[in-house]
Amino acid sequence: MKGLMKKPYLLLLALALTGFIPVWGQAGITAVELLLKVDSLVNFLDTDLSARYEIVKRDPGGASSTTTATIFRRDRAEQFLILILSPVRDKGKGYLKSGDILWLYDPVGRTFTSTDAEARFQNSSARNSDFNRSDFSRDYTPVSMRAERLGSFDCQVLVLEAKSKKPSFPKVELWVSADGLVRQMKDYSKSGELMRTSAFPSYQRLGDKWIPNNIVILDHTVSARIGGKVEYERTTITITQPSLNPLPDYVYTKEYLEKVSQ
Amino acid sequence: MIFKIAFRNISRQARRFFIVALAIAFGFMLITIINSLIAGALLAVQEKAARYFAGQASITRFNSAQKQDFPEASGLIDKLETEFDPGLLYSPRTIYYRINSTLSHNGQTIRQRRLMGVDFETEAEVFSGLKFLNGGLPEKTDAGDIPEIIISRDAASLLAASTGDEIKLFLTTEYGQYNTSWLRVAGVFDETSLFGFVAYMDRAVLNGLMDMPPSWATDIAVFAGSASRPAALAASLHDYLSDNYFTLPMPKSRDENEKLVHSQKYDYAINIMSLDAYLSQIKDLLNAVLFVSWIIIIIFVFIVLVGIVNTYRVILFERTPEIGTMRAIGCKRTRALGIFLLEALLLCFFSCLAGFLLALVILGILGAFNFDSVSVAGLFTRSGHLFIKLDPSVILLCLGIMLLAVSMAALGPARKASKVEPALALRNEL
Repeated sequence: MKGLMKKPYLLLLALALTGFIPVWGQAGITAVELLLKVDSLVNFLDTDLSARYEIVKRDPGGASSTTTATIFRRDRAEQFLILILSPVRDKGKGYLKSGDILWLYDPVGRTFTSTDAEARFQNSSARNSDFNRSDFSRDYTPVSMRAERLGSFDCQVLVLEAKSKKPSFPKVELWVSADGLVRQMKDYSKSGELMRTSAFPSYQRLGDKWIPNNIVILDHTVSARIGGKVEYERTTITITQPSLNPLPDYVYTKEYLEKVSQ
Repeated sequence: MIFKIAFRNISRQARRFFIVALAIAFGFMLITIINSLIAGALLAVQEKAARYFAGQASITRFNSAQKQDFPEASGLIDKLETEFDPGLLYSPRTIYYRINSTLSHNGQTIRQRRLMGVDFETEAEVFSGLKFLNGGLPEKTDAGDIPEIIISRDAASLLAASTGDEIKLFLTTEYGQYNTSWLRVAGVFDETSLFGFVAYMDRAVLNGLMDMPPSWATDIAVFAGSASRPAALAASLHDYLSDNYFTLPMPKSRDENEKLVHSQKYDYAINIMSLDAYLSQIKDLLNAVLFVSWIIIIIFVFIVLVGIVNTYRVILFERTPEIGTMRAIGCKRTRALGIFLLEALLLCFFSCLAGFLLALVILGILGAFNFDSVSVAGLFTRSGHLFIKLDPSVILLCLGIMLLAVSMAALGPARKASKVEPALALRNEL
């Protein structure tokens, strides 16, 4: 091993033989190509994705709340449906993205109201837009790329700027590990203020795609001074029971959401 | 002549009429106090609401996406000033309606329910009634300087911020992108009611943060003074604007307005809301209080009048010899009846006057108290003090009702007394 470390080209050859080549180690990969790779590894364009999400929000100072939901995603049509399972007071609520409109369903009044992509999901640090498929390559232009070590990962840090006024965060930084997966993401406001830091410690493989095992989001816009220290709102999302079973088209309809909410 | 007789009778028999006078005075005092306090409360609410919402009437333009969007509000303002009424104050405002804005300072974050971009120079008079704990209105800043904002006492307390401190504002642009800005606190205003859940800043600055041009607005506020009738003003505006623009029907409440805006498709639509519509729920509450207080007053007046009837009966019985003498020297029944009724009316008038003066004293004392510590009182007070409004028309109406009621109460005994036969009265055999 030491001999390989002394001769990097030998290391690369060894890695190639094992099938693992750092994405950005491939000769000539540009930031744009890396961004395309990032999207391709986590988008499911050939099938549907369903999974169980547990969202734990911890307020600065300690109070926490937990929401569990089932999520169905159809990336090729940019659709998703989220059904809230708990807590009891929110059970039956749902979100449906169809086209550019995001609907929020209230089972009490049996009404659909349109909501915004940038709105908080169930009052947590997650945003409704976080459940969309990954479209960094479509919505952002990489303006720079640099190497940086993040914990145990050697990463390429991509600095992205929104191509239009559509993305909620005009500027984003992505820490992309050698396997092409995002390990950390920082979202910035229009004025350049850091809004959120999201960490993706580990992923689970589904076929040739990946989804995170968990995501930890620090919201820098919600804070409190506790015992002399500034604490930020933290949301932890745990994703379990993923499935790539195809789903019927009627799942992504208001009628279905209304029916299952009962 | 009978006026002189009646007046002399009262003045010479003051002791007899004292209890009746006291009851009438107390009743009128109560009526005056309740009416003045409720009218004052309503005026205080209207004054705060006009500043908080957008004047006595507001004009909003909705685009095809049913979002508030006034690209060139100044053009419409020029038209209103020249063609509608040049005596009113028209001011463009940018109102940030979304609930996602927050203010942060020193690690503390609070949600800012409402963010208002105003032209402070145009609305100098509107803001002259806003009391400051410290600091004052924001001043224009140059490009590159930190813009200024005024926040409420509650916001300042929660953020532990004061005049001169820099706080961070978070909001989203009109396109849904997140944005932040540092702002300097120019002043902390003293408003503890629900009209205090707002922060004010320069409109051009807020427009910039929302990624909109400086001339953009969401509303045109129309100020016509606290004495104006908002519903009539809004109706006039509606009539004028509907001649030239597609205008939505006038709503009676905010809920109704919400339904109207989303009930149909349009390229653009003008929407006019009166202050009464904004305050419909608060006005319902005040009207309910007024209704209950009037019921109580009516019951009280009824009890007083029953007392007057009985007391007058006794008084006139005791004056039987006097009545007999009057009748014996040629005073006709109708004249005698007139004298007794006039006595009652004069008694009522002067008692009401005394009650009114007493009410003024009590209102003055009440007005000196500071009700800041009473949480609900903030809505109806001005800087913690009760706002008192004496409406001459209401006072005169109440006086008229009391005069009528007392004369009706005195009519029965007076008629009976006027029918006394002089010979029998003088023999005191009744």
